[in-house]
Amino acid sequence: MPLPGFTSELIQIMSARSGPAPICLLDVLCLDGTSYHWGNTPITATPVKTGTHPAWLAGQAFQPANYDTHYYPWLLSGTEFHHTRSQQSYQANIVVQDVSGNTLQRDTAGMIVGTAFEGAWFAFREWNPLAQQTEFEQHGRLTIISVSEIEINFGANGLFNSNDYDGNPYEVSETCQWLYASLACGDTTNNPCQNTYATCRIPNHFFGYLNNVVFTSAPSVASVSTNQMVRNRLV
Amino acid sequence: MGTPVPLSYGFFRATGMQINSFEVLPTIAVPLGTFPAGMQIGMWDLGEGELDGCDALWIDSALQFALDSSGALMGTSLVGVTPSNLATTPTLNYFTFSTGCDGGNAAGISSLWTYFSNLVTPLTFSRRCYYAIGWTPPTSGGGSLTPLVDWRGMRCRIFDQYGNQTAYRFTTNPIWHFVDLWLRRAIKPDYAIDSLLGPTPLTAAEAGCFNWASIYAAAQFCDHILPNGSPRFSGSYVFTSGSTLAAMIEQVLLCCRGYWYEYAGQIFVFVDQPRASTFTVAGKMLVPGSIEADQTEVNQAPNRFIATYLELGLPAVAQIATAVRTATNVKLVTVQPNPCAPADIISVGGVADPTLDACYDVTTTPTTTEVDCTISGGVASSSTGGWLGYIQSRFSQRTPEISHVQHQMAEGQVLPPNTTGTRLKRIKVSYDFANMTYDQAMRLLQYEVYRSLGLDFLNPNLLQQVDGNLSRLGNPYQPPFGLTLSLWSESVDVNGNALKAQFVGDIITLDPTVFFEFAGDWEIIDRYTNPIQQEIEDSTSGNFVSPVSRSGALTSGTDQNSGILQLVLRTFNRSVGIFTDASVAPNASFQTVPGQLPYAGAGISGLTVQPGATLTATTYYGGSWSVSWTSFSVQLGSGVIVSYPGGGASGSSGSPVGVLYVDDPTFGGGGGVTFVGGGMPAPGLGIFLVCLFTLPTPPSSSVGPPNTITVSF
Repeated sequence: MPLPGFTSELIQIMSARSGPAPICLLDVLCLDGTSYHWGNTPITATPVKTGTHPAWLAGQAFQPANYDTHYYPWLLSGTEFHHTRSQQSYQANIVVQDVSGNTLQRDTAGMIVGTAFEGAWFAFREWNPLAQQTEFEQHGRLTIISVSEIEINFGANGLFNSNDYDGNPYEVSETCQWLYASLACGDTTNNPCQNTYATCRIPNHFFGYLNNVVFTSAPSVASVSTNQMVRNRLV
Repeated sequence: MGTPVPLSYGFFRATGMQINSFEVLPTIAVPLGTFPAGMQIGMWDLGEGELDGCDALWIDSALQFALDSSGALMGTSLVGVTPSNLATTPTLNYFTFSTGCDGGNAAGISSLWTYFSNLVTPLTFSRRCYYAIGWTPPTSGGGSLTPLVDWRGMRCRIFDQYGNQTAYRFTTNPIWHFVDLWLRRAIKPDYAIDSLLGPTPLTAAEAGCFNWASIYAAAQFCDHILPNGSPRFSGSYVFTSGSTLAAMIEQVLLCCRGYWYEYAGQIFVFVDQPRASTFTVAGKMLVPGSIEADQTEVNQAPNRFIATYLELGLPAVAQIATAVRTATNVKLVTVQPNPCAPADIISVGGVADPTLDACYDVTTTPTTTEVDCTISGGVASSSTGGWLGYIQSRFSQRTPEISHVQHQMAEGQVLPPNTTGTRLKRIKVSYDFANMTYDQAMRLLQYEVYRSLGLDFLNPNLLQQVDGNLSRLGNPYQPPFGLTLSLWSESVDVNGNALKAQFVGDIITLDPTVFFEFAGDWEIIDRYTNPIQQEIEDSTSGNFVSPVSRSGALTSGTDQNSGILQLVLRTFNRSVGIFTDASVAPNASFQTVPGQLPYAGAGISGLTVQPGATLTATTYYGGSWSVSWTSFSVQLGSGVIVSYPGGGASGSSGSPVGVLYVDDPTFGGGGGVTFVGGGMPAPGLGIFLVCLFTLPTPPSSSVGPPNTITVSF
């Protein structure tokens, strides 16, 4: 099934022999909610997602009319987007400039240090400026491959990389494995427990095993009990 | 301890991990009845919930109860039945299970904890399915509480093509298992499961992670009922060892020819099937000199495909020659001597008169080929054909295989082909289809073999299926090709289709101007997107310092593949030999009893209240409470619909404070429910909990306004 979203208007513009080339746009949303919008040319476009504005913006002489729709021309390239019919994972490469700033400080490096870009959500698009529509769009998470004095190299992982997830994440354990105050936990007292039964306030939601049957081994020299026993682990 | 909590979908047979064991010393009275001295109580854990229910239970290899393929009880349930000879026969006093919602929902188990040692901490085993058995061994000794249970696995969310959840129920559809895995592990790992209302609904953002049009279409394709009466694809698997989500998804999609990808933040899933080309590549779109064909994948491929799975059908133990029914008896005469014995419960299917397809209690076996079964209210019938088998032989191990002889000969050619003798190079690969039917396993295996290696013109069965004749028998081997090429990414074909809209799994046509010998239909296996890169331009926005103006020489270093779409293609063959829906006829050793697959409907934990019925419970804050409900009907699986009158109950404040229940005396395999609080009905077997609820703490000690809870079905 061909990808959705390719309108007849967009296809008509793509088929023309002339016109502006698509522009690469990158939206980044860090875990702290800060958003960044970068393109490989300065442009105003509709963002995929918006967030809070970075503190860096306040110190800038140039203030865009709307930070959320203004794409700074910091994006150098986005390459190696690989899709496959198998479940093979891939990591694309996104390069951003690291030279803007002043004679002492670099804008992008400052952001990298000031905000956790590890795991930052991103949307990379090829944007057709005439049609104001997307020709290619990939979402995912960023990781920092390298930071130099000239450019910053991000690894761009897919959003749904099934190799990243543990299929059987829960263990048979005396420790409750729910995240405190999650829906499965159910505690609303805002007083985190220690993931133990003894500190659990919603014991009927406790996700652990305190008892398991231990079969004693057959007697050898010493005469030991061969009855089933229930071992208690009250922690 | 220390092992992964299992995750189960579809049908499976398991005992589970024993989590408690207890032996009643003195006789004790509990809300469920009286537990005799010497009764053993055991609890077993089956892993993550919420599982749907059980279809059969054996203890010490003896069948205690079982549902047939229609959900009706096979034979007589032994739950709560006192045997005629306590010295030699054990008693199954009690059986119940918790499906695994929040807080557990096996209310009948809660009271048991008080009889365990006070060193044992009572638990609800929230979100894990577990079951409990009370069993009294023969008084003369012997026997052991060793259960084995047939289960219906995980309940899953079902959606429509717009992403609206339409149901939450047991399913064997692999696509809904796929969705459940993504939700459970990545997209919505934090959710609640209400015992009545099901799991927490998806938010719009969570639902937006899926392309529902593709998912719904794939699910419908799997659900399509084939002429043999079974869905096209169903999946049953238990994940017990620590594995990645990728490995689980691989298993699920293996069972339905599925593949998936993500695009623009959405998960797309498809089932491989014959489909039309959606783009035509012309020579002018090709980056000069970029096309290359190869068969390296075929060269390294295995050519002996072995399926390993546990058979969901009942292996046939005898072929029926004649079946005659009177008002009180069914007499089966088998072609071969049969292993039946009095008191056996047998399953019959495939008789010319389908009304004779049923489960029977064997009364006598006059000869080695005759089986007499007692029935009541039978209608006279005389028919022929069919098979008989036993429910306990379900989940038997099978390993059918398909060899691609032409590939084996091609790879094994040591001497010139006209030399006497056949030399084969056999490279085997094993596909684990988990729990499956022979029909589906062979269809999937056939897909894997011939999609990978092309048709085998030395296989007469395949050619008969593809062509209806053997005219191509012995034709030369034509292995599939791989093809790599680069295209200008913004190409639009003569039909107005955009190349960029073509994604993995789509079919594109190469016209003769691209590469004359390789014109035809190809499937996109890999796609490398190389966006058009632009050099950094100087900003004209005032004080902003662009990289160019700072260094004076920096450019983006435009990628050499800028604006090019690189594709890896594979020969696409729409042959019915690859995408077959036809059942592969089993040989005698693989014959199963037709129509006797596991029961897939609602079970003892899946009550269906008739539409339109409303249960209303009214409670009052204060020193006492009461509930009342209007009349309603309940259907157990596909069985009898039972209507229940309105009623009410009352008690003192506390938790839990309200309960609605169904007592179905016609069902012998149900678990018990313990009611807490005064004014509750007398508990007993066959009682099913409909709704158990608690009230919030009253705002004050004074009597507050009435609080009405309405439960609609």
